[in-house]
Amino acid sequence: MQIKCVGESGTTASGDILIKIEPCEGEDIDVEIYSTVGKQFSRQIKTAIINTLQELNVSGIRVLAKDNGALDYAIKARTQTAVCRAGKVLSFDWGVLSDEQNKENDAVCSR
Amino acid sequence: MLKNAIGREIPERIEGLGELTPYQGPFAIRPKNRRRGPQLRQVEPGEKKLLPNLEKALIETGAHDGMTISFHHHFREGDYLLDKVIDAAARIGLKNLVIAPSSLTNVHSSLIEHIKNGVIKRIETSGLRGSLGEFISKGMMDTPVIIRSHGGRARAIEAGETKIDIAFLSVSSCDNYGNASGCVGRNVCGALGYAMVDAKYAEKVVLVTDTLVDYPNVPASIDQTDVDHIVVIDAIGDSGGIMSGPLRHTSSPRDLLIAEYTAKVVEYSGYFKDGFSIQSGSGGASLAVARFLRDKMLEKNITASFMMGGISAQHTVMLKEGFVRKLYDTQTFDLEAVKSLAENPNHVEISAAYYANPHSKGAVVNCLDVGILSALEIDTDFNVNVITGSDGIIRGASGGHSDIAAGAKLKIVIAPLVRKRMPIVVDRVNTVTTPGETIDVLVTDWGIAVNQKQPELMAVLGKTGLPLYDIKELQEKAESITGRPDLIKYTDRIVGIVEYRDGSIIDVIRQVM
Amino acid sequence: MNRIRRTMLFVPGNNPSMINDPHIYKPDSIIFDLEDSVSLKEKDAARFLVYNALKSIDYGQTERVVRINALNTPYGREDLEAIVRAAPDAIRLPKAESADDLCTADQIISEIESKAGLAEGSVKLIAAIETALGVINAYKIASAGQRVTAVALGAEDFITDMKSERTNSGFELHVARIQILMAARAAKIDALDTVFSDVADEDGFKQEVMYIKKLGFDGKSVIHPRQIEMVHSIFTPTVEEVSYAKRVIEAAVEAETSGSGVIALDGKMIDKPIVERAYRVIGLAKEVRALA
Repeated sequence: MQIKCVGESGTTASGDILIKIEPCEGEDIDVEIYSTVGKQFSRQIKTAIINTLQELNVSGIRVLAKDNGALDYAIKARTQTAVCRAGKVLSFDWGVLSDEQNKENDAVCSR
Repeated sequence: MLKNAIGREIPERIEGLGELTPYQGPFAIRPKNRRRGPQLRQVEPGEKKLLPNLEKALIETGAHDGMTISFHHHFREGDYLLDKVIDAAARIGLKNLVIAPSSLTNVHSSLIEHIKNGVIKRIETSGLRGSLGEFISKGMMDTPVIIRSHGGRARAIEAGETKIDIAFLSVSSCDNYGNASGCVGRNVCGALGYAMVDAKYAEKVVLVTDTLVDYPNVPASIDQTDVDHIVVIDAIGDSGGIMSGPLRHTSSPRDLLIAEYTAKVVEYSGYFKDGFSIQSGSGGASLAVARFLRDKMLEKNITASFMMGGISAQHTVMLKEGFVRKLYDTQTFDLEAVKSLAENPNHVEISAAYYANPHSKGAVVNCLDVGILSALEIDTDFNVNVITGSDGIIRGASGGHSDIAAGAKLKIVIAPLVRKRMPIVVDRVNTVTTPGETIDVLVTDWGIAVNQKQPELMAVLGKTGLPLYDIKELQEKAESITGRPDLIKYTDRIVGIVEYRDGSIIDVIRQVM
Repeated sequence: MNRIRRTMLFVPGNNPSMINDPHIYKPDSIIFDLEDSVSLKEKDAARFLVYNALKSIDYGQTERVVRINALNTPYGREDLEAIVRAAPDAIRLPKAESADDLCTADQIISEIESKAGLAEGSVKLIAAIETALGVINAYKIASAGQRVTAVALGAEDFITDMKSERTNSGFELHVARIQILMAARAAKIDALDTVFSDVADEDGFKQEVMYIKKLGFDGKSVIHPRQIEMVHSIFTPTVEEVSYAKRVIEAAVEAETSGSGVIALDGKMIDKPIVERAYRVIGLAKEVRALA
């Protein structure tokens, strides 16, 4: 996905995370994290952000995260939202996130 | 290094603090010594006690390098005196002081400067918070701090282990001969329970007030027979620093859920009958427990014999309404409660020693049925940490936690399973302040765990439909929500020692990397 | 599976700290809201948040419902695209006014289910009736296909549409309640009552819950966890009710085996509908116990 402008999502309320994404030169993903639980969780927060970005095929960006104890699902959601906003996505292809996975699960179940 | 009875490694001695005794069990250490009081002194008729300022008081009381001075924390976040006295001590060139306040709060960050410039060498306290706690956790003091419970501090003072050279005690009002009260004056703080111990046992006692009143200022919490000098200053503290304003009830559904479970545990425990007694803290969930119990008391037509702890407006309302017959008050938490202490004869001020000293002929905690306690962390052995945060930084207070846990018949720790992303029920707490063998029940928003040491209670609660779990299951649940936190990295250096109430060492706090 | 839906707890869809664990308050259903509690600027954020929550959080036995935006808004269609893929138990469709509204939603959901590899019909529909037209068409809505599992009254919008005023007694809602209830009964699906917004008014709330239970509703939407226990206690058969129901059933069984056509208990004749009600009480009591 192409990042066109600055995209922001989330809040700094308890249990939430504020994610700001901006385009930058090159193909790197540069992540900066400030977290109230940084000592114990900054590694996992970073992993959640990077995995989400890779899933959406995004690179060449700078990410600023201000975390106040968000769980991984919320980090993922805020990152996805920020990416869509930064990519000015009008209609998100939800199949990308889930259809394959659902079908795989289905295949596993029916086996 | 020796391992104490809960498996924590304790050094045999620490430079500047001497030999250490490892914790051996809640009542393993029997006291052998005598109470150590101050040198007798004769104040003759006509002698004046008023002194013009704090410097003069320091000089007059024989202040010297390396001495120990004490304070109380009844004004909590509104305390002015400690800073003023240390500033005065710095001005007259004193060095290497040991300060032994009953606790320290966020307002005491200016001590950092005085530690750096050598005025303060060592600290003994119940709690440490804010930038001072962080400063100490980062290893910036040469000698580790000593953390004590309120009962443990009273014990150490009476036993002469903490030998206070001068106690500087702020009092809301005082006459010119040393009769002092916390309920009358420009800035009131209510009970003077911590200060009462210092007044009895310090070598020299200096009262500091902003409201000098006519003799005799009675009833007095601290009386003239213990007081050497009196200094009048502009303001001793800010009453607003103890909670002011109308009583606020929590509307947090999580707090209410925990409170509801807790009230049910109390109700079914067998202790909830006419004349029962309870201590509950000042947190939102704790106060809600008392409210739920009030409804149940009404239903069952019973009343409580006494309540204790930090006393707040809610307790005083229950006293007025007749739900409880007496309130024991060591520390008053709001202005409404100060008013009650002044006016209601059934609202009784007690000293920290009366409240919790283990080496006495019976502290009030021994008479408690139910104690409701908080936790920053609790582990699968029920050991509780109320002093260091999940990041290893000192940001709490030992308070009366271990005293109540040791004394009461039913000890309940209440906490959310997860606070922000922090799991609160963990494998191993960063620091132990209260041993798990003195905790009976953990109540969280996800469910309840009973200590295996209480099979009868487990059986009773098992029949109630309450959501009971093994504490290990709660720990796993917490971790499944948060993910496994990275371990906090410590250096070998010890920055604090945590005394159990009997003076043995239950844990040490190490420098955070 | 026949779910019980005594309480449906509304949770704002863009608030992680409330989405993390509303099931600890033990509602029968959680409604993650993408509609009124989410501002227009945050519709996308809430959609991603609820989607990921449903994908990763185990809400245990609690029914997971998502209230989407109406399909005639710019958000409703994408809400379905996202949420159906996260496989909730049901979608709550706001402002349902006709059978067509339900059929349209049903078709879209079927398409997504098929694309996403989910079993067709796995995501149910709850129709929220919030307008005069919706009330008039209540039975058509309630019977608009297999997917529709419940109808719910949304009072605030209904009152506005009707130019009525909200009162404590709720007489302005009476016809709507009865109509929706009858529609649900005729279609053999659940009927759910509207929220009670004054959380502090415990007495008023209790009165209303007792009233709608007597009318015959299956449950009530709630906006605060504190309201759950009250609804559950009112909707859970009491010990006396259960033991009476048991005796009725025993008497019926006895009459059956003895070949007597007449069922009698304590000298009174018991009609067949009474026996049916007794079975229903026992069934509900069993389900409640299974949940606890």
